[in-house]
Order: sequence, then structure tokens, then C-alpha cells
Amino acid sequence: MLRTTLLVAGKDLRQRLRDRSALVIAFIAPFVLAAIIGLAFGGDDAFRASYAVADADRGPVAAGFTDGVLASPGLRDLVTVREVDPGEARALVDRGEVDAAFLLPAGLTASVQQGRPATVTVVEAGDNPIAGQVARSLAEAYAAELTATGLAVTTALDAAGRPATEAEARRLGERAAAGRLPVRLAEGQVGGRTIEAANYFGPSMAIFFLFFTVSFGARSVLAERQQGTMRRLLATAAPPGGVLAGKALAAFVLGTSSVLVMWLATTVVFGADWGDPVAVVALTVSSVLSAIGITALVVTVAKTDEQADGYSSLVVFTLALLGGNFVYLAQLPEALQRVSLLTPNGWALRGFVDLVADGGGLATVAVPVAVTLAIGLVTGALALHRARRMVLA
Amino acid sequence: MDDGPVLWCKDLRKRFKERLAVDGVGFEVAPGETYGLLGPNGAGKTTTISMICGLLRRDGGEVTVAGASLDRDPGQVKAAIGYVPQDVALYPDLSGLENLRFWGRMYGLAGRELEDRVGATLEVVGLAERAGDKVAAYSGGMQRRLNIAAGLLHRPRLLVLDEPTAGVDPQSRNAILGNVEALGGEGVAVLYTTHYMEEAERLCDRVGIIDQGRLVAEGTRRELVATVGERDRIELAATGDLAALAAAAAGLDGVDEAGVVAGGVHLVAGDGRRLLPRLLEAAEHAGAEVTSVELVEPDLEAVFLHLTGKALRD
Repeated sequence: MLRTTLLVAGKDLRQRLRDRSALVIAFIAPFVLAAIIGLAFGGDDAFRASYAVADADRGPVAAGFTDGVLASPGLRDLVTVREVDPGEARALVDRGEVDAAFLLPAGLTASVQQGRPATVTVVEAGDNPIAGQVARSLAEAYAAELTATGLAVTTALDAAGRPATEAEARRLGERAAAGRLPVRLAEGQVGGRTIEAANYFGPSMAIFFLFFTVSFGARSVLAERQQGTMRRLLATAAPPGGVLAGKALAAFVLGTSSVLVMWLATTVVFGADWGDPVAVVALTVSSVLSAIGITALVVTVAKTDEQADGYSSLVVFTLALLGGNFVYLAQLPEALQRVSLLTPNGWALRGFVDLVADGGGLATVAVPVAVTLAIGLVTGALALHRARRMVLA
Repeated sequence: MDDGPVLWCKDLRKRFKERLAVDGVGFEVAPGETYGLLGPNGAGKTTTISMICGLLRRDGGEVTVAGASLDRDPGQVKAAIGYVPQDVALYPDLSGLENLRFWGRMYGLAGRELEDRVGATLEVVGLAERAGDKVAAYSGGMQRRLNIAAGLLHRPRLLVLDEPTAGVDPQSRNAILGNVEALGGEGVAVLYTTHYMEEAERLCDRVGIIDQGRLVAEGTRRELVATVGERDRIELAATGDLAALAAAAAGLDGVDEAGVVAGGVHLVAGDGRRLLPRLLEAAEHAGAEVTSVELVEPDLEAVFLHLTGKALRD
């Protein structure tokens, strides 16, 4: 059995390495596409924006926004802020010199102190919709925190029978700025943390193309049936399980190599950092196994190579779209973010993002590894059952 | 090595849903013997050899190859068989050499022995010069020859060839038939399926005629012809007294029928070749001059027609 497995795996790998299109899919296309998408999302950073702030209030609540939010550690490296007059702010937006402008009206602090409504205006340029969306989110979140905190303070002060003092208003602004703001940019991008494009789209494209890379293993079973070599293999007393194991082994070697080469290439060329190497390898192995299991199951449903091709492409693209391979996961609507957890792509990407954003090692990716491994084992077992019947038919 | 048949099979049966594909087929093949399974497409030839090679589960029957039972020791049986499928079963993106090395390893060969066998087999099938080329670049005939080579590498006791010349040009067909003829001399038992009557007549020591899943007759060509009572036909083109010639011929021992036809005499006889000298002598005595002789001996096509009521290529 082991001899058969190794011989078939060696033969399959030799065939794959002769196939130029297979090499492109495994090693070149993921890198090129990651570079293109990475550049489209802003080069080496996940996000850059320039904002103008027109502070007509000059009070502590406005300062809480400019100093506490826009200059916060999570944003200050990604956002350029220019303090300007209200009229100039709009002009800058019109000329496209900034992505958005915040207009903080006179009397903002006083309104908050007295518990009256106030309006913060956000003017968007439209050239960079993500920057505009982030600007709006920043303002809305700050306003929401002010409302929640301010109501409590106002109620307390009402009970005390006097309006808030200047010092109390400053503390209110500071508390609002320190609140759970969903807008430290990356919150809307990758689940609350900043992540460079190369660190996201490197693994993302590696996983996307991994499915195509490993699908050859299952499809070669169909091909061997069609060209008659499967009958000949079985006539040599090779156990069917050994033949199938050989094909899975070849797919595993090529799939793992593909992801590891992508890791190396994005690290060397883009300076990407995928995180702890042991955890990356664990996540790679479990992702490869899940891709092998799913593609094998899909292929065993097909009766011809053409059908297998069609089914595989449909499933791979669906999983990639739902799993967040083409956009930052956090940019998907919340419902789709939940749906992404039904895909191995979604889980694998979460693992890679966690590694980059949170650091840590195996423990950080334990759940994504376990889930993708489970998906691989379940679909692989079903595929093996169907493939044995297919081979012996 | 025992002296018994290399292949012995009995009462093989296989049903595909409502269709009985093989119904009680049994025969044996001795060392060095080439046994042909002759029948039209769909007669059950491939199903029969698939069961013998352990590639298809039998509904009934027994198979023994080189003394090993397929039921008890399928591994030993498969190791003793060289299987050459009907279609070219090779990897087109690998070279001829790489294909043979792979198939040799699958049959357990390794190292020096593998290299020696691969080299020798390439010589036998005349592909040594093109061994490094991808199989996809081979002609159809070359692919067929390599297809056979892959089944010969491990020097099997029984070589099973499933219509190995289907769709092959005449030159390559000749080369393939030459290869198969040589195997008998080396003591290899050959089971050869075909629907080409000429191939069966040229190659096979014995022939089994199969139709609709049943082995309807088997034996040497002469035995089969005798079994069905087929006779030789002789067409004599002659001038002179044709009626006297016909009467003289009818009186010869072994002649069943003789009659005058346009430009000559038509005869039916048991053994035309033996009869010819006496026939020419009788013509001379009858005052007729024979200008040409055509002897038509009954072939397996005629036997098949007689046994099944249809032609081989129906």
C-alpha cells in the first residue's frame, strides 16, 4: 500500500511539474493577484486617508474628537489631519486635496454641556469612498458615545441641580474618545485591527488558488478512468486505497508548497509578516487538507472531466466570495461575515488575520485550525467513499 | 513451474442489470499457447477478460492463473498476468521510458532489473530510439506497441491482450502481430481477444467463438471448420467439354458437388488442396483445358456465420 501510494504520488507530481498551467496556478497567479489587489487597496498599507478638521467650537468636546479620536494611536499613523477654517475645509474637499472634512460647529461643547442636540458635519470627497465611510463612522461613533455618556452625566447633574462645568465637559469628551469606537480604521476592515494589504491578500490569494491547485488530485482520478490507466493500475494488484492515497499525497505536497512559496514571496518582496511560523504552517496544513477534501468531494459528484471542471470552479469561486478572499472580511455585511464562517476560506483567513493582528502562536489559530481540519476530514472521508466506488466501477 | 494450464477458468458469469453479459464461459490456455476469443463487438470478450484479470466482480465461476486462485490469492494472480487494455492506457505527458519505468515499478521491479527490462522491452517493440519522447508525440501505432510493452515488462506467465490492433494502421498491426507471435515461442500463454477473423487465424493455436456471452465453440481452425461441416469450394475456369469435366470431377473421391457454370465448373469438396492434382488429371482425360483454379477454404468467418447466423462485423 505504501509503495503504491509513493509511486502514484511521485508520478502525479512529475506530471504536475510538467504542466505549465498548473505551475502558474500554484505559484505565480496567487502572487500576482495578491500584488494587484494589495495595490488596489492602497499599496503597502490597508488604509490611508487625509482629513480636514474645521473646529469652530474650540471647546473640550471638539478637542476630544480631534485629539482623542483622530490623533489616537490606532489612527495617527494612517490618517493625516489638517486643521483649517470651515470655508477652507469644503474647498479642500472640492479640490480633492483631502478625502473628507469634519465641521465641528461653534457651541458644540455648550450644547453637550446642556444636554442639547448638536450637529457634526462630515463632507466627503467621493474619490476615496472607504476614507469617506471611515470619516462618517468616526463622527457617528463619537456622537453616539457622547450621547450615551452625556445623557448619564446630564441626568446626574440634573439631580445635582446645575449645568456641567468646563472641566466636566472636558472629561466627558475624553471619556467619549476613549469609548468603544468601531472606527479605529481597521475595525471596519479586518475585525477591529489594522493589517497591511500584503499580510491579508497574501494568505487570501494563496488560499483561493490553493483550491485550484489541489483539485487536480481528484480530477486526475477521473482522467485516469477516462484514459484507461486506472484499470491498468488496478490490474497490477495496486490497492485502490493506495492509488487514492497517492493522489491525495501529491495534491497535499503541491498545495502546501504553493502556500509556503507564497508566504516566502510576499515576505521577501512586500515585506509581509504572516505571523508565528509554526502557527502559519499549522494553518497551512489544515487549510490544504480542507481544500483537498472539498474539491475531491465536488469532483466525485461529476461524471466527466468537463463536469468536474465546471462544478469545481463554481464551488471554489463561491467559497472565495463568501469567505472573504477578494475583500477584507470586515467589509462584508454582517450577515455575510457570519456566512463566511461556513467556509474553510473564512476560517483560514480569520486565522491568518488573528496571527498578524494579535500575534501569538498555535493557541491563536487553534480554532481555525480545528475547524478547517474538521472540514477536511469530513469532506475527505465522504470523497474517499465515493472515489473508491468510482474507481472500482 | 507446473505443467498444467497457465489459465483455467470455468463457468464465468456476469449480469449487468437485465443483460446477461457472460453466461457460463470456460476455457484454458497452456504455456506457449495463444488462445483467441473471437466474437463481434458486445459479445462479452472484454467482460470475460476483465473477470479473469480481477477487474470485474464475477457473479459466478472460477479462475486460476499459474496455479493460484483468483478468489484466494488475487495478488498472486494479478502478478502473473500482463494486461494490455483495448485503449492505449499510458500517460501522454510522460515519455515512453518514464511510462515503462512507472509500470515496471508498479509490478514490483526496481533498480538494475527494472532498467534492464525496460531497455529490452523497448528493443522488442522497436521504440528504443524514441524512448525519451513524450507518448503524446507518438503515432497511434507506436502508442499501441508501447501499450503492449507495458504489459510485458514483468515477464508475465499470461499475457492478456484486449483487441490490441483496433484502429491501427496495417504496418503497425503487422508489427504488433509479429510481437505476439514471438511470445508463444518464449513460453508465454497469450489470451487474445479480437473481432478480426484474420488475426485469430494467423495468431491463435486455438480459438473460442463467443457470441451473446456464450462460448459457442472452441478448437483449432481446422477443428472448428470440421465441427460445422464446412467444405472447400473450387472454381475451375476451363474451355472444352465442360459437361464431361463436371461429370469426371463428380466421380472423384471427396467431391460432394460438381456442376457447370458460365466459363467453367464449380465444385464443393472436403479437402480441396489434396483434390487439385487429381482434378487437373481428370480434366485432361475429359478433354477440357483448365485456365485457372480458385480454391476457397472455409474460414472462421464462415464458421461464425454458420454457428450464429450472422457475420462477425454485424
